[in-house]
Amino acid sequence: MRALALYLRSRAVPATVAVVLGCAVALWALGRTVDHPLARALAAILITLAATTAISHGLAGPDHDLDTTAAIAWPPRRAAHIIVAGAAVLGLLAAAALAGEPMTSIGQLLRNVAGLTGLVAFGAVVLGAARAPLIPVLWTLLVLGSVPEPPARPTYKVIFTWMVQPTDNRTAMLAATAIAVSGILGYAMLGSRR
Amino acid sequence: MGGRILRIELLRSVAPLAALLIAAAGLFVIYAGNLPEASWMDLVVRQRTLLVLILPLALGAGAWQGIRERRSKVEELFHTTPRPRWRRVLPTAGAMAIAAVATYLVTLAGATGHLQHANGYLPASAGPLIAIGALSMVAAVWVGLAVGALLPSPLTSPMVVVAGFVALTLVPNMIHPTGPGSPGSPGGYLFFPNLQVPDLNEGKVDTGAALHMLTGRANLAQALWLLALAVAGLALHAAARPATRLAALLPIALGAVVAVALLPANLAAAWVDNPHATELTCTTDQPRICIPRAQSHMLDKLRDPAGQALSILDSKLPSAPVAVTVQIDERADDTRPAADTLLLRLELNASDAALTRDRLLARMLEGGGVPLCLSLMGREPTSETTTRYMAARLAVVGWLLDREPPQRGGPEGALAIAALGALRALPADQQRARVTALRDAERGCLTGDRLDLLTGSGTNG
Repeated sequence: MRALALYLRSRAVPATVAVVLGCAVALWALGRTVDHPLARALAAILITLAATTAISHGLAGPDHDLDTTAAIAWPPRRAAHIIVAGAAVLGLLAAAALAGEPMTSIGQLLRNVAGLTGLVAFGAVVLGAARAPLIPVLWTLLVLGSVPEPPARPTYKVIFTWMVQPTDNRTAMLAATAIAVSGILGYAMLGSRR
Repeated sequence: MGGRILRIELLRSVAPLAALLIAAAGLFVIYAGNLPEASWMDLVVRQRTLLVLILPLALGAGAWQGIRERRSKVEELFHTTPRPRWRRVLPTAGAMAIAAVATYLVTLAGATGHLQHANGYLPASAGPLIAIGALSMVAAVWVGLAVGALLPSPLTSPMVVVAGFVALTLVPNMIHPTGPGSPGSPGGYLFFPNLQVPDLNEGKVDTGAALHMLTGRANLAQALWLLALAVAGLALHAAARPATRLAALLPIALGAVVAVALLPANLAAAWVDNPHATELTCTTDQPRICIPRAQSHMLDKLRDPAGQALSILDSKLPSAPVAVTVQIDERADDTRPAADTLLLRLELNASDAALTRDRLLARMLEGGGVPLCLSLMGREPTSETTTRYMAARLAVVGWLLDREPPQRGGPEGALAIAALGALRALPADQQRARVTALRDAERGCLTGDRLDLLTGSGTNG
């Protein structure tokens, strides 16, 4: 128990939890103030983005060298860390977004949290934990800035705009799953870049 | 000393990388738009509206730079130096500001590739729009620096990006139920540096932003407000003590008060017609062509057909025009041209396909060089009156060019061919008299059936 508490503290989990809780509150508040359906969907995507990128903070410990000297198997622990973190984000956001008049569907929320978590994990592998949010943030903003409406075809455009596609779009769901699986696997195997 | 540090910061801070990334993001979004922008003004306004995406990124870059000392774990070390904080942070802030301005200008320069006519009219009123856009970038990076220094956490940067995006996209929708585009939206929208463009062409044909400009007052209000934000951000970042930080917020309040005093009550009132854009400029050489500045890029394509049209009219009709004047089709009314002027209506953003030599020549000769009388057009574009009217005008083109009347795919085509046949059956001097009569009727927008005038049973002979 003590080891777990120390681990959580070393991974800045209290700060991350505070930020994710803040995001959930912001989402709830936006749900009460924004009426336009498109703006509500946009708010849901943006807050999902903020909450998922908050995970990045805990993807690396304070001392990379110290971690590597530990005689424990990191891959399953890293996988558990990021999956639990993603699930916690999903749960908190779902509670905020679906309470009252829903802002988004549970399927869309699940897809976006999973995909964005995968991107954050990928970012941690490639750029390091501190710079990891760059990839999901840039991608999402580029999509939100360049497409007024989610395109239904061609396929590469659907894949590029996976986070704004409707829930029942299978291609977008597959793209998000692929990103999530590869990102989480990559992070579990390789860990954060130093 | 300061210059050297500035140079080092320009190379070693996040400034160059952020400038590169943000410019690339901006260009991506501009080029992802389907059609190239029709005019310089449209492009400049597009870049200002795009700030909705760019400013949050600039804010995030500033915040990232603002937490550098914490990230590098040199905060305490730097606190022990006797050099005051403001002298230490000023070169960094300067480097970030230079990068921010460069980003804006590089994006604009790169975006000219997505402009239909780079040699088109660049109004002076685009200058303030560009300058204020660049100023808003400086304000964003400096506010970002301040936030980063006050909240030095690795999460600050992504959070301010998202918070900035939420503020710029969702808050406008909260102010007014249907957003800035609807009539009656308040002037307070001008507090957003990303331009909120009202419906500029209410009740008229859409001409984009090309013929409009933001009033000097609105520009001044925006400039002062953004300047206040920038100064507050810089002061907040440079301040070392809580009391000075509080004082650093003062410019925001000041800027807000001044801006509120300057802003119009209504957003639509901040946008006015740009008289300079619609003003005619004339060539000095022959053929004399007068064209609104907003269409001046079409001049080269007009020269040849204009000269040809004028000489054809001169050889075939009495009292022929000697100059060509272009009128913006979207703004056209039934003002009749002087007898010595051939008036040509061209769409503001006429495509190159519409500006070929043959099509221009046919358009100039339609109705004997007099534009369509809008008052004579039937209410429905397909009504019989309109068809007969168009057919008569087209038949004149055929007669003047000594060939078949040009076909536009409408029902008037066949009618025009028949009319031209009937006209050519008449003696030569009668043909000439009838075409002249049609032209004179057009010059006065007189009522009456033009096809009868051209081919009727000789009452006009």
